[in-house]
Amino acid sequence: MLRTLFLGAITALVLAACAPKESPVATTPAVDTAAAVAGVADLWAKWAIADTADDLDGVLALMAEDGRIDVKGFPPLIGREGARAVMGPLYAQVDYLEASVTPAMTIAISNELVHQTGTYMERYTMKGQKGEMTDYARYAAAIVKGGDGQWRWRYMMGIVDSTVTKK
Amino acid sequence: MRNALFVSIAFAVACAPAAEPPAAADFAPDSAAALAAAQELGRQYAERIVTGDAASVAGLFTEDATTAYFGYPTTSGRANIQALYAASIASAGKPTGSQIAVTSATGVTPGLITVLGTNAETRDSAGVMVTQHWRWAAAVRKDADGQWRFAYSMAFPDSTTRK
Repeated sequence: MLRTLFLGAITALVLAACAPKESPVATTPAVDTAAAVAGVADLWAKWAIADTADDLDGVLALMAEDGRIDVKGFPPLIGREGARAVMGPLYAQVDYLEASVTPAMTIAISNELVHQTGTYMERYTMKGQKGEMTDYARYAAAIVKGGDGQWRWRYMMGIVDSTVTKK
Repeated sequence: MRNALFVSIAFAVACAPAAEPPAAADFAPDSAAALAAAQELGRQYAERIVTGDAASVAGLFTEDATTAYFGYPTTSGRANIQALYAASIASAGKPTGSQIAVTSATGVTPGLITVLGTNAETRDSAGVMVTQHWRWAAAVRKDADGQWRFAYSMAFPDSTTRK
């Protein structure tokens, strides 16, 4: 009788010890695509404003600190300061009059990461010269949301397909 | 003593993991596995492009892939990408060499990595070896058959050298 009780107690103890423990659930928050798309649209709107205001700091603030931009005709722009070194002389020569982006495909990978492709245009003049030029380009980008809520380019590749000159 | 042994065995047997749980992901972001997968895909691309077999090259793209190459229209779908490569090979000839280098590879999700790289593609142009040096960016996806394929690829040439 004592032995049966002992075995019963042991069995209960073993079962209790080995009962499946509630493991921490790795919850992935639902992706709020609409919010991501709106955040990225806000990024492009800020870019268009800064670009046409000759505001290089404003443009660079939209690039992740460790971001990279590859655009045909330019060396890789790596990090904000690397981008400043290339874009500074460019902004000194060019007056951007108009800039706009038309996204073609937007994939919200998470609430903090969006992959996007599309086209953009920039209309500009060379400072001190007459005549306008308009670049038409395609882009692909990985855009991330920072801790401050601002979406920024982590990576972007751009290809200017054509330039239309208007005298 | 016997009881103590019994308790130990009981705990050991009852609490042993039933089986190795399946890995939740093939790799962690920025892992060596992402780089290895990207390099292997690059190797396969370089190997296939020099054969001039557009269908074989297109086999390295997902069924719904998109390409955006300088000088070519944005092209979506494996069949259209095959046609793009066929037209390119027909007009410019097949490359005699292709050297793909992966600059970086980042794991985004278990079946998706983003890759940056370069490609030096050489063609024989009337006895002159012309090499175009390209930069490319890609999203690479693992298909159900386990093969990594380009889901999106964008590229432009930086320079051309002649020998």
